[in-house]
Amino acid sequence: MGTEKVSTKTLPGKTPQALDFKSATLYAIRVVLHSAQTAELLESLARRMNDAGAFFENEPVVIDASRIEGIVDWPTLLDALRSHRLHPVGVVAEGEQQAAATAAGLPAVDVGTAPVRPTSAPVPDHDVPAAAVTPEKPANDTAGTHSSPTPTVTTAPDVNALDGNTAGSSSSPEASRSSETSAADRATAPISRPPEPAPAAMVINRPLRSGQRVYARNTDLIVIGVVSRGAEVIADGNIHVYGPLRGKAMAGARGDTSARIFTTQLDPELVAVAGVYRVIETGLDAGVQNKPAIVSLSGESLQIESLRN
Amino acid sequence: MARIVVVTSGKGGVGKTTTSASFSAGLAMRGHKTVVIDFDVGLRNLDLIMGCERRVVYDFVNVIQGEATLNQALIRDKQLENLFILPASQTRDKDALTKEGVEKVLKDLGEMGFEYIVCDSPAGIETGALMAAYFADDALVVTNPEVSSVRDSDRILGILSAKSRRAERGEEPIKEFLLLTRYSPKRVAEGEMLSLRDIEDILRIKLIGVIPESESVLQASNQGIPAIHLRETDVAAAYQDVVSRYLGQDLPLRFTEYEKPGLFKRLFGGK
Repeated sequence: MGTEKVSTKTLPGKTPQALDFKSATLYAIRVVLHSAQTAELLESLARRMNDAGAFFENEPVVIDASRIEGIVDWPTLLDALRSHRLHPVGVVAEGEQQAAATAAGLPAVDVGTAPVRPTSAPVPDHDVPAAAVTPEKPANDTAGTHSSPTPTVTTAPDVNALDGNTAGSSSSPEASRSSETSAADRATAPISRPPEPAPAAMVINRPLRSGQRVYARNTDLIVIGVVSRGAEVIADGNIHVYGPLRGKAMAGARGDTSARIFTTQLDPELVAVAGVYRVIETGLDAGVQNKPAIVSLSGESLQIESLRN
Repeated sequence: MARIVVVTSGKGGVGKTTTSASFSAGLAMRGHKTVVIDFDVGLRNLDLIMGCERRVVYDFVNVIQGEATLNQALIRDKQLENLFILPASQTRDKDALTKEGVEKVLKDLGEMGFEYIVCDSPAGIETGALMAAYFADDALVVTNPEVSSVRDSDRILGILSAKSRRAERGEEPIKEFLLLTRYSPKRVAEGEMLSLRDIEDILRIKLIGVIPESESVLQASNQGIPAIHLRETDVAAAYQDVVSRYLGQDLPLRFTEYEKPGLFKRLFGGK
């Protein structure tokens, strides 16, 4: 929601402008209505707010009333929202619905769909998936690729799509309707959160030294610098190392078999994709050793190919 | 405010205490009021290397625990009036070192007018080493041209970048300097030792100097004087270079090239 900077003329002899118009971006919660029935709405609202605790408090909200038939009792709904400390700032609706909302004091707004990618935060050690980090050798140990047993990874509580999404997030399925907030919801998650858009790739802009470990959850990992012997880089997505990769690299840590490892200088101790790993003991082919290369999973075995065409 | 320099390595026996002694002496020689602190609680060595082991009455732990003042514990070096030593305790254990205690001592030393505080770290990555490095502004990472020393130095560099006060506060990181010790150009030329370039490629930090392998180091510690005082020797010259570079001078590296001795020298006892 931006406005152009408005140029104003300063009248001679007057003091400089007391205010300016500049552009801004507002992140808001989008409350998607699936029913126009006041009672149902209020009940569902109360239940959602109870589940979510303080998660949504004091957030600005945009009400999406574009999918329902029937005119909403706007004044009552707005009061209810405010009583839960949500601040309605706009409505997305058409025709009569929009008119009714506007009459209740709510401006019509246009919500963009540019994806907002939260940044990746460092992950504590105990959250690193076990499969990515401690591959086990099968009984018949042959030089070559090994696969780990089915990873027992704790997944995040399954989030049934809440009807509140951050405005501007990329499209995510909205499964449940407000009237269907059932026991199922409660069973899966104590707090229902909006499904998070995939985080932006984690970028590490420093050398990684022996003993250090980095895990990029739900996303790719980019390292600009050397990954020393004894360092470990792990990602649920792809791994890109712009520098010598001398430590251990484990891509697709939670089972994504399409993940790959890219590096400008391949010299690793160990590489793994989706739990299938190879220890590099005696050096690789001359074509890839210390050269730009890609490591990927083809079926059950790892392929290491040169990055040069 | 004093500049705190930690001399660390990870690996043991590579030359930290030798370096702490000569480095701090070098600074003092140039007129800077310097104190060198032994952080190796229980296995103190600095006092021996500096030749003041018979003058230790109170130590670092005594000061931290309020049993003595800094003035009582600090030992003035016999050769250099600008140089002071704060010895470690030989009888206590490392738990006596607390962050608050160490911080206070460092602060008090600053207020006493010291320009440089050199912290001689013990080997390893446990409390003593972490404590020595925690408050540092600069770090001399002492490394031998040998695989386990290089790996341990890499490890300690990771720790410096993550577990120091500067790292925790998001301030400018500790300035890291690589100091290669016990370097033998002959063995590098023969492929027995890692070369300068190899080590720089692995560790990727700024090289502040190369100290050649030398019998003078043993002689110096036997006499209880820092090696930098043995003026005719390569080691002394190399340490002087290190101090100069630390203070901002740009000097070329010495003692890194191997010259094959001529026929006569080889016949009659060259190395």
